Amino acid sequence: MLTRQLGLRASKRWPFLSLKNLQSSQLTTVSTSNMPKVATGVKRRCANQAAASTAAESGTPASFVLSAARELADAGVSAAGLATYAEKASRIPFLLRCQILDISGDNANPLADCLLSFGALSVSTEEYKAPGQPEQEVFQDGSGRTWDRCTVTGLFSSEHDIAQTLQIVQDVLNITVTQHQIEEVPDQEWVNAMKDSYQPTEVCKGLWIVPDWCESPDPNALNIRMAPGLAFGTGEHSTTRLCLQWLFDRRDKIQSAHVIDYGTGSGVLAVAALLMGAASAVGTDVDPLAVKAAKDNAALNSVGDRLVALQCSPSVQGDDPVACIASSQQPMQFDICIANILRGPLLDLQPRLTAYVKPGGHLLLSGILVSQVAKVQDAYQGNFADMQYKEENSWALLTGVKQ
Amino acid sequence: MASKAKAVTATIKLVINAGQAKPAPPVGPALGQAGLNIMSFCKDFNAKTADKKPEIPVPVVITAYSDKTFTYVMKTPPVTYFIKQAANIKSGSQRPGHAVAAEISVKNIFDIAQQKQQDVPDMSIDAICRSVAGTCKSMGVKVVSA
Repeated sequence: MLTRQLGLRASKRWPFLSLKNLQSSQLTTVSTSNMPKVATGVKRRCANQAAASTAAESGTPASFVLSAARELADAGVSAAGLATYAEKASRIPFLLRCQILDISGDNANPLADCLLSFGALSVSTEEYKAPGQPEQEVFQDGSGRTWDRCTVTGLFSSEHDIAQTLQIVQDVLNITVTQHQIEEVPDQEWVNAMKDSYQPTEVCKGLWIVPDWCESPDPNALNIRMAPGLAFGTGEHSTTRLCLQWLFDRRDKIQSAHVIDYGTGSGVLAVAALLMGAASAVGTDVDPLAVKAAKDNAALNSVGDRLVALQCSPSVQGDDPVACIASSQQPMQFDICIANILRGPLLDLQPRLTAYVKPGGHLLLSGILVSQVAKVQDAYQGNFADMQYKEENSWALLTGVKQ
Repeated sequence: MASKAKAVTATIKLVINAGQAKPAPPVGPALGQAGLNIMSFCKDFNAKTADKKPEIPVPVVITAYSDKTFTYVMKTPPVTYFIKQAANIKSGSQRPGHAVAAEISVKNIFDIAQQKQQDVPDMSIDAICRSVAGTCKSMGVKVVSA
C-alpha cells in the first residue's frame, strides 16, 4: 500500500524514485537531471554507483543505493527523507586513487615519500609504459634500481584535497606533474580482489579448508567451509595450520570437549573443533566483524547451534566475556583453550586464559614467532606442565597441560 | 642466492602503527591492488612489531614480484613523529610559517638525525640534520639553540 502511494507521489514529483525503476539493471537509466535540489556530491555519487552497478555483483554499491532508497521510502518523500537518503548514499565507503604518470626514476622515490608525508594513505610505484613501448624488467638485486619512467599511485581518503597536495608536492620537490588522473575506488573493489584469491587449502591429509563457493577436492576428507571476509583466519597461515593439525591429530579425544577460541577471527579453529566432535565452543574477538564472521562460518558448517560468538574488550581490564554469559548451561572452564593472537595479548591475558582451562585440560598458544616462545612459556610455566612447541616457517604453536 | 632473479612489479610504501595491520584501508587496497596476500602480510607485520611500543608509526616498503610474492622492509618512524615526541605536541601548527606550535632544541634535532641515519646510511649526519630542521619548519616547530 505504501509502495503504491509512494509510487504515485514518486512519479509526480520525484520520477527517479519510482521503486520499480530501482531494479539494478535499470539503475543506469537514472538521469541526474531529474533530481531537483539534490547536492551535487550525491548526484555524482549516484551516477557513479549506478554506472558501477551493472558490472558489480550483489552486495555492492547497487544494493547500497537500493537499501538507501528503501530507507528513504520508509522515511517518506520529504525534505527530511531526502536528507536521510543523501546521508546514506554519501556513506558508500570509497577511497581516492591518484595516478601520476610518467615520472622519472630518480624522482619517483622522493615523490612517494612526499605524498606520504602530505597525507597519502599509501603510495605505489610501478613502471610507466608509454603505449607501444616494451616492458623494462627490474630485478631485486639490492641496488635499489628503479624503472626509467614510473607511475606513482597514491591512495587518499575520500575527503582529501588532492589538487592541493599535488601543488605542494610540485613546489617542494621542484618537479612538474604532466599527467595525472584521479578516480574513486569503492571499498568493494579491493575486498573482492582479496576474496577472489582464496582457493581450497589442504591443511594436512584428510583436512581441507574450502571457500564457500568452491567444491572440495576431496569430499571424503573433513572439509571446513569458510566464507572468507575481512576477519583473520583463512586457514593459509602457518599458525592456523599448526593449531588445526594439533586438533586433527587428536580428533578422537576431542569428542564431547568444551572449547574456547580466544581471538577467534573467522572462527576457523572453533568450527574445526566442533566438526571434529567437540560438544560446544565459545569464540571471542575484539573485532565485531570477526564475531559476525564466526557465527556465519559456524552456520555454514551446520554447527551454528554449538558455537557462542562473543565480542570482548581489547583491554585486559575489560569484562571477562565468558563471565558475561554465565548460566547453568554455560561451562566456565574448558577442556581446550586456543588463543592464536600475538605475543603482547598472550602475556597480558595469562591470568584469564589460565583460569579458562580445566585441570588436565590443554592450552594452545600461537600467533607467535619461534623467537617469542621463551617469553610466553615463562609466563605460563607456573600453571602448566609438559609445555612444548611445534614450529612451521618460524611461527610456533606452544601447548601445555593444566596442572 | 635465488637461481632466477624475480622481476619487480611494484614498490608500495605506507605507514602502519605497530601491531595494528588489518585488511582495512590503507593496507587492504594498497596490497589488494597488487594482488598480494593481505592476511599473510598483516599477521607477519604484527608479529614482527609485537615487541615495539604499540601505536608507533612504522613505515613499510613492500616489493611485489611478478609471481605475486612479496618481501618487505620496515623503517624508522617518520621524522614528523619524532619531532612531535620531542616537542610533546599532538600535531604540527595549523599555519606553519606564521604560528609556532612548539620548540625543540638543536640537540633534539641531532638525536632524531641519529635515529634516522639507519634508514639513509649514505647521507651525512649534517644533511640529515638539515632535512629534519626543514621538516620542523614545515610543521611550525621552532628550533632553539638551548
